Amino acid sequence: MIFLFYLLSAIMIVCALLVVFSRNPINNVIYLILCFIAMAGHYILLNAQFLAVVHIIVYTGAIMVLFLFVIMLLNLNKAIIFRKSTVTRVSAVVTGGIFFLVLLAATRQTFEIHAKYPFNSDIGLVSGIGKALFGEFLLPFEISSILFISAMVGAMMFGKKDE
Amino acid sequence: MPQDYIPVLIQILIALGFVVTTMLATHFLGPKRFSRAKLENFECGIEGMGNARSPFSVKYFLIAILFVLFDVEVIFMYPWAVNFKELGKAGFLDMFLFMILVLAGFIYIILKGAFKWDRR
Amino acid sequence: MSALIFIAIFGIIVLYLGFANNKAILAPAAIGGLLITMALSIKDWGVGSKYFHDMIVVDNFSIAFNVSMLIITILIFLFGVNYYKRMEHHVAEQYALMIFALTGAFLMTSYSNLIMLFLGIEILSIPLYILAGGKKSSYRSNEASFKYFLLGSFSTAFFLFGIALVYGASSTFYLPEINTYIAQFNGHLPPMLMVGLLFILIGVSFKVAVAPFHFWSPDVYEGAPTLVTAFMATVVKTAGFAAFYRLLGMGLLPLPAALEKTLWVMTGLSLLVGNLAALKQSNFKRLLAYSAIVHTGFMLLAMLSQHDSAGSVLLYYTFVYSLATIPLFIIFIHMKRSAKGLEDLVIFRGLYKQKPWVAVFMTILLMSLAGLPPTSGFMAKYQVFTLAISQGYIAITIFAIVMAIIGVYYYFYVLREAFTDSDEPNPILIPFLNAALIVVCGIAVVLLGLFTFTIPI
Repeated sequence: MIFLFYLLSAIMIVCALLVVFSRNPINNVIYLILCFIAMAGHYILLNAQFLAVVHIIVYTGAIMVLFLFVIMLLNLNKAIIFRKSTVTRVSAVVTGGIFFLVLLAATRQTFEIHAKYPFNSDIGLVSGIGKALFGEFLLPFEISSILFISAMVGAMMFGKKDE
Repeated sequence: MPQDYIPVLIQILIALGFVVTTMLATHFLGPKRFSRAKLENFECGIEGMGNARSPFSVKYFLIAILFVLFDVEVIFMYPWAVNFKELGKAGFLDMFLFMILVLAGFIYIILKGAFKWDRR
Repeated sequence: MSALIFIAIFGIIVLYLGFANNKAILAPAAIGGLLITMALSIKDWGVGSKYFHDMIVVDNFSIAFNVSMLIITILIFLFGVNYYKRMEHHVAEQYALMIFALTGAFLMTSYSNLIMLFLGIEILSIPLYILAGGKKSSYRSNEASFKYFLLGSFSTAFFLFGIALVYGASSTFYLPEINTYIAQFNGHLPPMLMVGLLFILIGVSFKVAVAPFHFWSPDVYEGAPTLVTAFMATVVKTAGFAAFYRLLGMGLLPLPAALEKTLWVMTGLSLLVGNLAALKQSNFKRLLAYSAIVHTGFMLLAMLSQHDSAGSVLLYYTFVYSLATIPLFIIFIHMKRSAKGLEDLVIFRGLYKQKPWVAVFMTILLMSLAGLPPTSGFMAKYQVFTLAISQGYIAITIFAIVMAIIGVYYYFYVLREAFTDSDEPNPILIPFLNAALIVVCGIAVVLLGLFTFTIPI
């Protein structure tokens, strides 16, 4: 299990770096897909099976296709490299570094928290999620439809030509 | 449990194995004769020219983004379907309300004419 | 609770009213719906109950903020009657999206679970991203929408990460349970929890544009359509501060030392950065954006005091600030139209000569924003300062007073333009409804200063 964890993490980190450093936009998307698949592997290790499947279906399936669409829409054959000034770059590196240090320090000093809920390997199965979704989290579930509708309105407003 | 994933693993292995074997088999079994005409994308018709990646209409994008929205919405139905009997009437009404709200969005989209392809 | 359900469904109804092909019915219908929502809200006054497994808490605090936001939105819709007259497409969508955003704002005032706060922020933000890009042909509007969307989703990522860390430490999403979990540490919080709380703070601060998370606001305020800017400057800020107060003032008291220091720095920075940048602005919308950042500094000062009456003071402050801001945007849009699209401060030139009464009301409104005595803006700032001093925040209060005095300069700079004669006066046309709005808001700003209200929250 530990070996799998490190393998998946290594794949994720390498792919994430390649997303940033690769110059070809299509390759960026492919690396991001690989990164997401490795993340789905992490979900399975954490016993979140449903989440893993949804992640593959929605993110690597649908949203990444959208990303490819955008790249084709923008006609990005060659990557446009934005040159930033040295000051911007240095400050970006310093800010990112400080952020990384804070997170690292926070994780290093974290003591073991005794789990409130007992370990249950079936927790991430579809039926468990369904019970939580239609029990405790019923209101967020229903109200998220408003979010869907506003997203649809936005798609219509921006995507449709005015006659 | 880790052993629960053995069927999934077998499935993945068979899928990968089939692809790899067929690709290798065609590579080794098929005859190899290369010529310029054979390597063309299209063997007949006009010559290919220009860049393959030309920008296309934003209409496709609208459809794609609406697809993603409904895709996400369908995800919510799996947990409900699995627990259909246990959730009973209350769960059915909850899902019914959600579907009505999303359908309201869908009808709005149709009335606005998102799927009328040739209107200008 | 019935108010929340009603307004969510009412948004969809307004969306469908757009198919009636009659723009004239939209604004009256929307205002009628909001009035019904207000009645439904007030019905629950003083009851105080929790709904849906404690996801939503309806108490006097949330009702008071909801009613205040409803009043402001009604004023904005009245402004919209004339504003959207020239617009041909998607008028119903504009109203519907604002009502959807209001639904999100309702969730932000009455959440008791971090998931609900997240959903509230998203339901508030996504319509705003769309509304900011409402002028499809305008390059700046597109830029504002895109900038707001990118930075907004970035801040949402921080916010979600914060929720995940807090959940990882305390294994709960419920604010009261998080509060009891924090209380057991006696001020020495585990680092994971601390980082999580800070990230949540960043997410909410972004929405209300507190320095140093304010960089989006001048560009977005400038690029977005003026009515949307007015909505962002008033309703969104009110909702954001309600959420802020529920998180800090009700959820996490007494504030952990590190959080208190962070808030202290953010207060000082907002006051300083907003003021210094505002002194240099020549565009009126950017000026109001920076002045809004300064006002968030004052509101944060009320929050910092950690006193029980801070909620009431915040309500008064946001309401009075919104009342003064909306008519200023109305005056601005008419000056802009008469100056053929210019947005600089010079467009106010010659206002006194042509419409003296508008200039007088503008003086009152700007005085209220600057916090000068006969107006309610003064009373709001006075309440904040006394609250902060009574809780021992002397140094930052003195700094805030100095900043308030500096602020008078740029508000009066605008006034000076309004009272200067123009070389080539353009005719200024103000329709009756908008003129009435300006007058009513101007009088309300003065009256609220004479009769300050506090609400038992």
